[in-house]
Amino acid sequence: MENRTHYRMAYHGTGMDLFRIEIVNLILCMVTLGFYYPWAKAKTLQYLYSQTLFEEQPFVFSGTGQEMFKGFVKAFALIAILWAGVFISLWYGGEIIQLTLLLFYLIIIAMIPLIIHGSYKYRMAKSSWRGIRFGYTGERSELIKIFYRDLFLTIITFGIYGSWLAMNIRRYVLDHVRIGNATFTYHGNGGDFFLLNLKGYFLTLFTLGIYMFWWQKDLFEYFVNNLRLRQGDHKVAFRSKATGGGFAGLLIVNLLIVIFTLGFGYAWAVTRTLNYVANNIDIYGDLSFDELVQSQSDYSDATADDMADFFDFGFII
Amino acid sequence: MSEHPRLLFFDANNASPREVYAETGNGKIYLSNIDDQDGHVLIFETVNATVSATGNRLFIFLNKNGAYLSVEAGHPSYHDLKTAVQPERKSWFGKMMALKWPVLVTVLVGIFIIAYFIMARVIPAAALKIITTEQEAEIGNSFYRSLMTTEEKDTAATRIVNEFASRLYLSEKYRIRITVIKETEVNAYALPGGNIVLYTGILETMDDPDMLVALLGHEATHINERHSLQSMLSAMSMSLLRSMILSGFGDVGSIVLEHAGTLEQLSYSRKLEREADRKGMELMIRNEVNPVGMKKLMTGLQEANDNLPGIFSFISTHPMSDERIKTADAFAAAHKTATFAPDPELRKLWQQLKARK
Repeated sequence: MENRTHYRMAYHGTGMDLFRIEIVNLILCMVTLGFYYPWAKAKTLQYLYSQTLFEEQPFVFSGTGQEMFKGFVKAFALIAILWAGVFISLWYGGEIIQLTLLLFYLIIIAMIPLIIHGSYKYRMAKSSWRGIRFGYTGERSELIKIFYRDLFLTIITFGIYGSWLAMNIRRYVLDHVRIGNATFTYHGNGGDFFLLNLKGYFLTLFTLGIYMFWWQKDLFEYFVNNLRLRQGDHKVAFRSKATGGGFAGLLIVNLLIVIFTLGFGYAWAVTRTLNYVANNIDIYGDLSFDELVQSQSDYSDATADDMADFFDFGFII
Repeated sequence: MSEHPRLLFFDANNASPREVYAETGNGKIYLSNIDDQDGHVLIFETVNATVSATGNRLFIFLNKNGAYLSVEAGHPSYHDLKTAVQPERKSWFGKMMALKWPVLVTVLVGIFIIAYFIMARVIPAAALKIITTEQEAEIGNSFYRSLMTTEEKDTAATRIVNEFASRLYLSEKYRIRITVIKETEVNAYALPGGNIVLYTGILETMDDPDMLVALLGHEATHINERHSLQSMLSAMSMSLLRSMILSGFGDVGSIVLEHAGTLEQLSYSRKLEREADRKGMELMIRNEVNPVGMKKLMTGLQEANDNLPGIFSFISTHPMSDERIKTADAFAAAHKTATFAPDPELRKLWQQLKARK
């Protein structure tokens, strides 16, 4: 990488702005008995994206409440059918209760790769920067294959293979994220990730939890440092500058803020976290972003994204 | 960083920005390239445009495709563009975002209070009207069955106390059935629809049949006035509210609200207890039993509370306050001159109850 440039990234949002958005969202959700939720989600995402500047230009979330409401209704209907199934069999089943519950959990687990796939497809298509859309080009069937194979191995190894499962999924997903005609790649692997977690787990145990913050820092670093963006011969690399001490300060103060404000300070905690993340990733390379060309198609089905919300997945990875 | 404030146009085809001139008017934004000689002009409608401010920049999104302008503060067109594209004010969200935060917090708290009263009072009260006496008995019985699976019944005492109660007037609408449980804990409760459960522990604190009449009168009032059904319904709808808040407000907020709710519930349940005391004593009078028995019952329970360590549910959720005792005393004093002639069978049954072992 000759002519290496350091790119600028910053979060400009304030706790107060986010707080006002969340309060208005909460009020509207309460008076509409929850039906406002998709619009609330859109408003929050639009704000968070718009306040994140990369090379002085904001990210844009162009998903709408209407799209997500449609997804919300579909996701709700699917889950209602699933629950209805469970209730009916509990009512008449008697002895097959265990079987029904097992089946219910299996169906939910089986849906995870579908949810990840759909959720990424929607989120990425609705994210853009400098007017250039992101996109997710992964194949649903490939992701399903990886997920089931690794899930099987995780079960027969009593969970040990879980690290490989997590990394294989993350790698597959991120390797298929594009912005315009540039491609992300991810270089993490299960072995390293397993050792990192093993070390983190035992040191956290031995230090009575203090090492937790360094473990967190390692996880963040493992995500950031293994990420690349490339377009032709040009590359962008990401390096974490976060420290264990930094994470300790961030998370402890956030916890105190949330507790002492009875939850009202949540918006400030989020703001502090986003500031910390934006300020602690060094992004550099020889890619000229002027060369990016619109090449990803739009996609407006938000069902999977809403499903992820129902099961409280957050935004995966 | 550029030396002079710039106005950049991103066309959503290519990531490279173009520096442009902008003019506004007639609800339109006109853009022309800064180095373009042929006078090519792009026109966008301001009604389709949205604006967001970040740091010292304004971003004006021109259409659904994602084409936008980035305007640095200090650029000659900054104010023109800012006034041309108004922030969203038409939607509810936009209107509310224009309010100050203390107003928003007040509105939110108001909505919480309204939601609380709807869930804790209005809905249970409506349900109370809909549920028939028969359905209530059914609900109570299913509770009774599930509660009894883990308890050991005192059959002899149950038989005697039921016979005792059958000689009393306790309820017009409900068939009162009593179950005595072998348990040292000082406790008694009433289930919707007619079941009263007494622990042997509470019988031990009594030394007078009038006290048992007082207790039965108190518990029967809970059934007659449908207190048990009310608290069950409000507990159910409160747990619904709690889960709604939990999903929208995070853990800490919901814990605070829950405690506030519990305090309010407690004061409400105290109100119900006082009503049960009063109407219980009215039942005593109706049965020709001296209402002073209620005062004796209360002082007996208060002593039991002092003597017994640990937490006893009847006493801890229904503290035998001096105020309750005083009220009972005043009620009894008003009937001091009256003569009472209780059913002599009651005393016989009482002696049987005390003699059993």
